[in-house]
Amino acid sequence: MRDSSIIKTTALEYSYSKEFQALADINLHIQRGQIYGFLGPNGSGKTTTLRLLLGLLKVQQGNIEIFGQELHTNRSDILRKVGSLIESPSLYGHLSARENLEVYRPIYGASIARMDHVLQLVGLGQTGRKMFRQFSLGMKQRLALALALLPQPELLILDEPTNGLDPSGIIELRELIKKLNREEGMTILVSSHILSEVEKMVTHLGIIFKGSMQFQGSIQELFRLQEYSSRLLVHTSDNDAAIRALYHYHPERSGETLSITIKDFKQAAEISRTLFEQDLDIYLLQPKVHDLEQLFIDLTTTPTLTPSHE
Amino acid sequence: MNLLTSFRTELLKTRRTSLWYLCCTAAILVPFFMFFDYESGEGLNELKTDPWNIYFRQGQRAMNIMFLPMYIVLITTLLPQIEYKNNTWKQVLTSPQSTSHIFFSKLLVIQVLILLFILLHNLFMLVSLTTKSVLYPTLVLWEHTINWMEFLKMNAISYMSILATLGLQFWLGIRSKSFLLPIGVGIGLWILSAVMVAELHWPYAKYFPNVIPMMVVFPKLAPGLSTLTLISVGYAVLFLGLALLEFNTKKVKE
Repeated sequence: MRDSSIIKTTALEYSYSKEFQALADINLHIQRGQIYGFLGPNGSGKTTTLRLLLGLLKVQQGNIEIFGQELHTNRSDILRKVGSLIESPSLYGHLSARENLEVYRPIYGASIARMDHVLQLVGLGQTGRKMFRQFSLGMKQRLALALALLPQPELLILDEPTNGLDPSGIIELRELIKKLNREEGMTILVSSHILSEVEKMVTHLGIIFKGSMQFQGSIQELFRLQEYSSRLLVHTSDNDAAIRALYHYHPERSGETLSITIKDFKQAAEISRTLFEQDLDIYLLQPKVHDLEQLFIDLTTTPTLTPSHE
Repeated sequence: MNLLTSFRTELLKTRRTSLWYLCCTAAILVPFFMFFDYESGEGLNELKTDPWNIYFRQGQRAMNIMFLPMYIVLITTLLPQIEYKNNTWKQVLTSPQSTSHIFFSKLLVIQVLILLFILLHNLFMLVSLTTKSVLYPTLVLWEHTINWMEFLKMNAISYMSILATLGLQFWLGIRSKSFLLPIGVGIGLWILSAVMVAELHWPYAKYFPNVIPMMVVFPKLAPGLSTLTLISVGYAVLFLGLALLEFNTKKVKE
């Protein structure tokens, strides 16, 4: 049976210096056909991971397999099937859009028709002799995306691709990514530090914080985690008595209210019943469901509170 | 992926850059200054005896002493700067070409620029001398012939003598994000070489890489042309070898 794994890293570690370990025990697992969102705040290790995946940094410890082949020994073969956009657009300011792609076209063995197609795809087919340095930031980003698509890659790695794009540009990019995944079967790894930017397009997520993975799984698994970490806000006529009555729920006092972690709304009903049985007047009983953004913030600020789902 | 493909892409990157303008400008300088030289009767009389060979020999001296070394310093800095200035190293290094191919294709572009410079220099020298003969009718060119063997040998020696400087400067240029550092080092070493040759008369000066292009045009200073060119080639192999080793191991260039 064919292994559908596209990217597999095993115990990947990287240090820029003895004092600063950028990555620790990174085990990415990306399957064919996934749109994998790689999330984390700035400085969490996303770009370092992507640079290792593209061979821009040498692996110090651990192992990287792409398309089932070791990156270290099959670098050129692997890179022929990978399109990438790392951070800011990397193109030549003194060349036009077409000339920039022409630089890489023979290297990837792409046809002129393919070059024209990707230029049309990103809406830069009519830029003529206009130099890359005269482009707006959004146009630059789109040309960098065209370059990433030039080799008709099986794997597309995009590091913060929405940088510099206006809201409509972001929506267009999102639609394009979904289209490439759906129609051309491309596996896409897209990094971002904003969850809301990627949650609408990804099928799977990896969340990294301070160089280690906090979560990895499908978007549905993240939603389950979100439910798991919902909270109930309670305010009664006697909060001290309420704490005693609800001690096995580990309530936390927060000013005038108590905050209790609940697994589902059934538990909220149980708590309400307990308080009623204790003859306490309930002034407030408010379930507070975490939105994904809050969950992301929690995962990337208090990493020890939640287990890694791998 | 073959080296020729990488070389073609490297050539394409130089389109509309200052490298080609620099090549033409630098090649015209010696012929231009020499056109205004020989105004004294004595100089002109000497030139009349063997105009082609004397003119080209003196042109080669000026080229080797100053213009060719400075040209090397500039092109070996400007070519890698295309990647640094545009922040394109990461895209180049994630393309499916080996780092050795990237390195050698850049080096090949430098060779093309040097050979074109020498070719243009000779062409402009020809124009300079023929124009001079129009201005000074006593300078009769068709009565004299050019010694082609000496001419070709002269050009080959110029090329080989500059390889040591080329190796060092290419190494500096490809590893340095700063534009000023390789240029500063290049100019500094050229001044030091000129002082060594003209003032200090240091006996071991011929082992100094940047001195070689100066010495080959003054055989009295250092006899043994073949030794000098061999030293130059040896230095080039050493510097380029180290540069390649470093280029292959140090991955991120920003």
